[in-house]
Amino acid sequence: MISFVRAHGYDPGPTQRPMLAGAITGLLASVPGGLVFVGFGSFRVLVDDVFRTSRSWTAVLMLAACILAGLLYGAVFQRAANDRRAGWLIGLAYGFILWIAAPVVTLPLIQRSAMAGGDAAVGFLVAFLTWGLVAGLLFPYVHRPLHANLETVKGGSSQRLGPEADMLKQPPAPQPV
Amino acid sequence: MIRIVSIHKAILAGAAGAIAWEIVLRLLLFAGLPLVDIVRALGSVVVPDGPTWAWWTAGLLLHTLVGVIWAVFYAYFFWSVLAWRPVWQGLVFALIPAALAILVVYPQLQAMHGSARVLHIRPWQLVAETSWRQRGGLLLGHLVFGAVMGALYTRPVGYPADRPRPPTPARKRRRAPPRKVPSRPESAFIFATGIECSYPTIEGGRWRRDQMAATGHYRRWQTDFQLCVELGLSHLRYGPPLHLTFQGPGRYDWSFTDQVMAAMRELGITPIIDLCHFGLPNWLGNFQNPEAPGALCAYAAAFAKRYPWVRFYTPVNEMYVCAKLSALNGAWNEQRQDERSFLTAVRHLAKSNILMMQAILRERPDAVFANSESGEFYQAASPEPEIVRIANFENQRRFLTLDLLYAHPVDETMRRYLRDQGMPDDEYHWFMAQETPRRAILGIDYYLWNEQLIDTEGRPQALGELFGWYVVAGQYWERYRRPMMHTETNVMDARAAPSWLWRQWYNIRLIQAAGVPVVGFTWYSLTDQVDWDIGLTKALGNVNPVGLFDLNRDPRSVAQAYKHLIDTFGEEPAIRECPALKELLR
Repeated sequence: MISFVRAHGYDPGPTQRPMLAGAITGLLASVPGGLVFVGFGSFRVLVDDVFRTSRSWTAVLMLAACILAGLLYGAVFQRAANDRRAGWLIGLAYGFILWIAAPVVTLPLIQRSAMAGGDAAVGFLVAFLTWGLVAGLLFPYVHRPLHANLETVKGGSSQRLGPEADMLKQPPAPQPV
Repeated sequence: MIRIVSIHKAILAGAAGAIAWEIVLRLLLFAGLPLVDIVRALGSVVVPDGPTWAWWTAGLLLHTLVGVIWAVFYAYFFWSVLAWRPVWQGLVFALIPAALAILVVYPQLQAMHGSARVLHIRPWQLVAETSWRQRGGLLLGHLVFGAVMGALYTRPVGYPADRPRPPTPARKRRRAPPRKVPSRPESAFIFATGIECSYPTIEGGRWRRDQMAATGHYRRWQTDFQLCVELGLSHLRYGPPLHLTFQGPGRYDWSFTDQVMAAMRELGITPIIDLCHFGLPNWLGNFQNPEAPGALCAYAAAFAKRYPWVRFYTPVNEMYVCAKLSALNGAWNEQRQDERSFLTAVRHLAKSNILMMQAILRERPDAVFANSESGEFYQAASPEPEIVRIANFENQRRFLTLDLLYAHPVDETMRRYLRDQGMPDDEYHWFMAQETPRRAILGIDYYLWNEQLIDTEGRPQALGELFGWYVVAGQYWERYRRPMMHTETNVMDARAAPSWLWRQWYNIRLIQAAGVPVVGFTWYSLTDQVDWDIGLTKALGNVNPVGLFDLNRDPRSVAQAYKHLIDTFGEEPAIRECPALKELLR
């Protein structure tokens, strides 16, 4: 999927800030995702059986993880994440992959094979999907006001966009006479 | 935007796939085969102890929803990646959800069914608990889903040619007052872009490709015009949808065109109106139709009468490409593949162009014509006489449409070719007797595939940039000696676009320095395009990142580079007031 996205114009260009938008989106999406997580009892499993620490520390860790996951989302999908029609799908797929990576594979490996069961397991899946869905939906709208202005953005005269854009990146070394 | 997807087709295909899976599975279960009942497994998570109808309904709804999501995923990320029949594409794709179901989702569903809040089990132990029979059942179900979904999800872009979809009138939105193009002298060098508007038919004339629909211009034309203003572009190559506007002899639907023309006028954008761009209305058929020139002439007259303030026209865009793709390569419209049909298309296109120019001049005597044509060159790969002959022939044939348009006599080889392929002498003399309008600009388009090698088998192969626009356009200049314009260029790799833009600009500077009057430059197009990597031959919906803006209307690097170019050179005296354009407009 990444190579496909890259082939269709992966480069975000000079005016976009996908990682910042991703981090903010990740934080915002943690609200509905967190509600689902708490509602299904999954948060309790995380507090009592996985991290074995206080609720507040677990919540802080989760928020940090959401911001990081959002930042990674922006970094990976960049321009493609701006798609308002497909954003929900990209986000949902990303949430699903995170679900496989985190509670299904990683958590049992780091904590004595503890894996959520019953409603808590449902909560993990639904929370990750909700987080991804909301993040994917929100990203284009969060990103839009963060765009730099085309007229004022730095880099207009840079080697990337100015007349120097056509120069060879590494001119051939002069040959000995 | 990464791909144009037909959401409603994907939803239908996904739902149908999930329901087909359920029907096949239920029949096999009735037949006594011990397979995985995925609907029950899902439904009983939602309604653990409910009656049959409850878990079945919940499970089927959930499974259908999952099927729909996978189908949309397929539509975005998998459809058309393999050049196979749709049903095979669907079958191969189904292996992805099948693997995930077998390795992750089904084992996790088992964990969800238990009452324990925490399980102490390693992930692969859960996987190992799934039997081979269950895995086989899951694979079979996914294959049924994939085959049905794949068979149903086809042609996400375009529409049946006999059922055109006119654009809906734009909604009035409350927004800040639109900015206008900064005022420049009328004779300032033209910095232009274009709205890609091709509308040929494919599949034997049954399916209409419509780039304005595919790129979202019908919905977002107000935004598109604002983007032109934002970049400081004074001119816009714009082709109102002929196939939707011209509905029959004397019958026109101007509703969309009225809106966009009024908006361009208000914003100070000078449109270069492209009246025929690779297609005809369904009622006119294709370019083999001898009635087409007369009909197009009437359309041009009606257009010029309705919008008398418009001065710049491209009556027919890229006649050579249109005739070649329609009647020699078998890709569009009539989809013929013979020399006689090619020449028939050339004759009708060139005649249309001339009649349209004459009709416009009757309404607007000072009209300016940008006769955009593809700049081509053929290089022989070897000194073998047959290879050289083919290259020489193609190097003459590339001029044919413009020769007829500009009344330039063809050489003996081409004259023989015209006779052999059915062009009567009196028709040739008619072309040669026409007076070319004084205000006609020779527009030469240039892309990476315009220079071709005639290989040792005698077939043309794209060479990339061999000699460049300077040399190719120079050959056209030598033949016609008319004011010139670089009327189209772009490159498929978005990262290479700024470099390509500057390269084309240097070509213009060099040819100007050599004394050739060049009046304008065009990056084509404003937004990304759809399926031009395959010449619009199939309705796949793949986005080509060639635009100044992507289909979300976010700027690409080349937009900033173009703005940088205009800011850097725009105030140069010869650009601020281009002598060649001043002379032309006089």
